[in-house]
Amino acid sequence: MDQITSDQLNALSLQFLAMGNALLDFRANNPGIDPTEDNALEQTINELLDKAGQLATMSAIASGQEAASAVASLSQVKDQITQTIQHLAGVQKAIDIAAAALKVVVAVISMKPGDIVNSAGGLATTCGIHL
Amino acid sequence: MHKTLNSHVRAILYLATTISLLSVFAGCANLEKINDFASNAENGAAGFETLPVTFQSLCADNCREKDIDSGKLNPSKCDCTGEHLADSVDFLFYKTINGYLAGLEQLSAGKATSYNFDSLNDQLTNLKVPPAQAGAYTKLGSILTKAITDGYRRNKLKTYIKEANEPLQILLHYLRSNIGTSLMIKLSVNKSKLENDYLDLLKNSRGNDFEKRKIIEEFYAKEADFENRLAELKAYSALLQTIAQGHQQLTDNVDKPDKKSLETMLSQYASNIKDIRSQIQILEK
Repeated sequence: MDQITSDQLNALSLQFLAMGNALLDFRANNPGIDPTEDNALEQTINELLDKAGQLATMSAIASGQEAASAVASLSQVKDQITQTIQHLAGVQKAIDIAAAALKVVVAVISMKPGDIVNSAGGLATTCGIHL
Repeated sequence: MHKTLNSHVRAILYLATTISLLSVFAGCANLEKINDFASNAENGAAGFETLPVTFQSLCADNCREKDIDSGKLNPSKCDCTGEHLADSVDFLFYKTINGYLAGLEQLSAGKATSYNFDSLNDQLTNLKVPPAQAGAYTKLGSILTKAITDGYRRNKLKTYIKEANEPLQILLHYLRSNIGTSLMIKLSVNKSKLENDYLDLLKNSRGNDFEKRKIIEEFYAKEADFENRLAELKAYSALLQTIAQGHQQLTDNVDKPDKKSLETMLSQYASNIKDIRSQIQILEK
């Protein structure tokens, strides 16, 4: 399979860091969130940040070759995804996006190209973005 | 007539000697600048050894924070295998880059090099190094070995510089990307997690305003520490970029007759490296 380059892993890692931070800002700026949702949000933030860290480590040791096109497309929509999260009206929608994003990163970490394409499509749909 | 011929010969000899001496002086001045650049680059790159964080240290910090969050008194076993590998690859490339710069410094000073590449070569086989970087590493390594065994001297210096440039650029790019991007992302991740933890702490705090203020003050102090370390990584990354640009200029101009402009350029790069090193030293305090 085509493997992912270090630069692309770093780009993806930055995307997850940005999403984690966008949710973090959302959490900090909305003190009245229901405690159950707040807990879910906290866990999701930590998961997104964990994955960002894992991707950054992988980029330092990953082998090269051509990158998966789905990952390249994802990097291009980084700003749109982050903005979508930032402008969400409700917490649940943000968690849905984060959950969809996590599926992508799990596929990337396991290096399964089919899963990357499927999960990238799912993330785009959840965010209302056409890849 | 004989006397005139002698005076002509003397004049030609004088001119020839003057030109030779000028060439030697020009050459020496050039070597001195190359030596100055190499010396500064080597000392600057050695800042790798005092970087404020490593992949492994960040992994350990992360594990400790998780233990604190879950109220564990005994530290959990922390799997930082990937991080250890990432640090090993960085260290290997750093040693190769610095080995080359040390060799360049020695050769430009007319001294023999004594770099031992074999010990590093053994490590390469134990690491999963990406092919492009491994190729660059092996090439630079073999140039270093040649510099030692083939008795590279001043007259071979240009060849040494030109052959080494491509692999050196790849390794510098890789190390810069690892430190200036990957390691910075990891540190930023830990910083964001800290923010999330303190946010949680503040939300759950049943203390009075004074206690809440203490939590916020502690958070700001820790955040400032993170910012300082991030600035240090950024400065080191900029330093590697300056070394790469300086060496590229050296390679592009080493054959050109305009030695003065090469000297000026090398002096500028050496000076920039010095400035960045000073910035790093201030941040380390």
